[in-house]
Amino acid sequence: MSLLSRELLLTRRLAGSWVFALVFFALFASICAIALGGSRAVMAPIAPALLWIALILSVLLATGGSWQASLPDGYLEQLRLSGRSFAGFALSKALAMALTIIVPLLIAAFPVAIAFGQSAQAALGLTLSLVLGSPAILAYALLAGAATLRLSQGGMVIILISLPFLVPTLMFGLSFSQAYERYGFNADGLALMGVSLISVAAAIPAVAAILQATMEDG
Amino acid sequence: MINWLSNPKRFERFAGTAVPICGWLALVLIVTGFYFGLYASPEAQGFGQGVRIMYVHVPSAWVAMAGYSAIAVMSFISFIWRHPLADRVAYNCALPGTVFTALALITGSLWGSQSWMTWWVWDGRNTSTLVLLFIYLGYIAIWSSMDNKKLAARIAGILAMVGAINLPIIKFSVDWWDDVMHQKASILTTESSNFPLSMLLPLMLMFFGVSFFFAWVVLRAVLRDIAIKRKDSAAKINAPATATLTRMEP
Repeated sequence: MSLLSRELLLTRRLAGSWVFALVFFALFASICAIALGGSRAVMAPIAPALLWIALILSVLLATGGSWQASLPDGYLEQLRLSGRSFAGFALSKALAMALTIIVPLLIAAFPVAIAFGQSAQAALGLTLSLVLGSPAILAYALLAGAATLRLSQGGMVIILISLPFLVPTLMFGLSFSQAYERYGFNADGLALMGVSLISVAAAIPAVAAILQATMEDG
Repeated sequence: MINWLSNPKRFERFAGTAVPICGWLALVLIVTGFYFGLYASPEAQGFGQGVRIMYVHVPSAWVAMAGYSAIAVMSFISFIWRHPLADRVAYNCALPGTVFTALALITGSLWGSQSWMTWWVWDGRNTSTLVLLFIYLGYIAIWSSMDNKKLAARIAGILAMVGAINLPIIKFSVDWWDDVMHQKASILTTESSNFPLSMLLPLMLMFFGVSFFFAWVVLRAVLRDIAIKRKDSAAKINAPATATLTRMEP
């Protein structure tokens, strides 16, 4: 719990870093709308795909580098010396990122979906699919970020590592959101939740193992 | 078996005999496979001469997946027992694995251009093989972007294990996505019942030939790594003084 409040405090002190992801998300959506000519007839069918890609890129860019600061400021070293588990740190970082970066993005997704010509029901389904899929996106973003902790130019490698792992999330997410308007909550939603849970269960211990390796072998 | 091989000396002795055996077997099997595949087998109904691509395509796809499985298993061994030899095997599987994945995609595309009249379709198999290619590339990217190879081995191994958890999910989701989005039950139905022996023979020859070729490439690379490592440590022991002197000169 103290780990979590430290993370939240850090994010708050970094004047408005959480806004960057939100602005990127809105900017990406606007650029897509401009590129597509702003016609709702064109945008509406591909809006779910665009918003999914926008969310994935926003989360990767905003959270991928979130481990970087804890190396030079000695926090990881202290954690290693204190003998506390890296898993707790990884989990609290994930929770803090979910609260400060993911939640605002998810709140913004609904109005953006409406602006892209989705009906209220379709926009709700789309937002719901993003909510269910976001744990997986965050988990792999943090995993790729931890893997590139020692690299000065990690950004490209983060995307290279995490995107292939996000293929199932993307597929289930989009089919859930497309079926939602007609069928409500469907089996694809369960599959999406399953993929999200597996991703978190695989990625968080992997993050802890990578942080430990970075402190021991790095 | 693994425990016995984990000693580099014993591994060298084993690989020293295995490398020429794998190499010659691969050569003989692939050459005879080519002979039967290109001359001594019939063209398949509905595929024409294009079916001969299969004798390269199917073994490549098999080795692509077997290579990643080898990486995952070796990463697991390295993660648990911290054995550097397992890391070397995993690392040296990556490049040939990538090449065979690319080869499977390219030959598949060529074959598709003949039998499906299109170079590429986003069907389940194509898509999951493409994702596998990207996973291979990400794995290689970690190795090549890190100077500290000990750390790179550790991290690449952990990512390879996460990838191994993911691959079946990707496979499943892609197949299912294919069904839902595309609604084409089968483009390609080779009824296994009338798969004639004259075609099965070259396929099997190529299958084993390519597998032995893969083993040959990997074992040779591991032997080379052991030799380099030994040379480096020998150089360190023999000439530390000169090394420091030359560095201090300017």
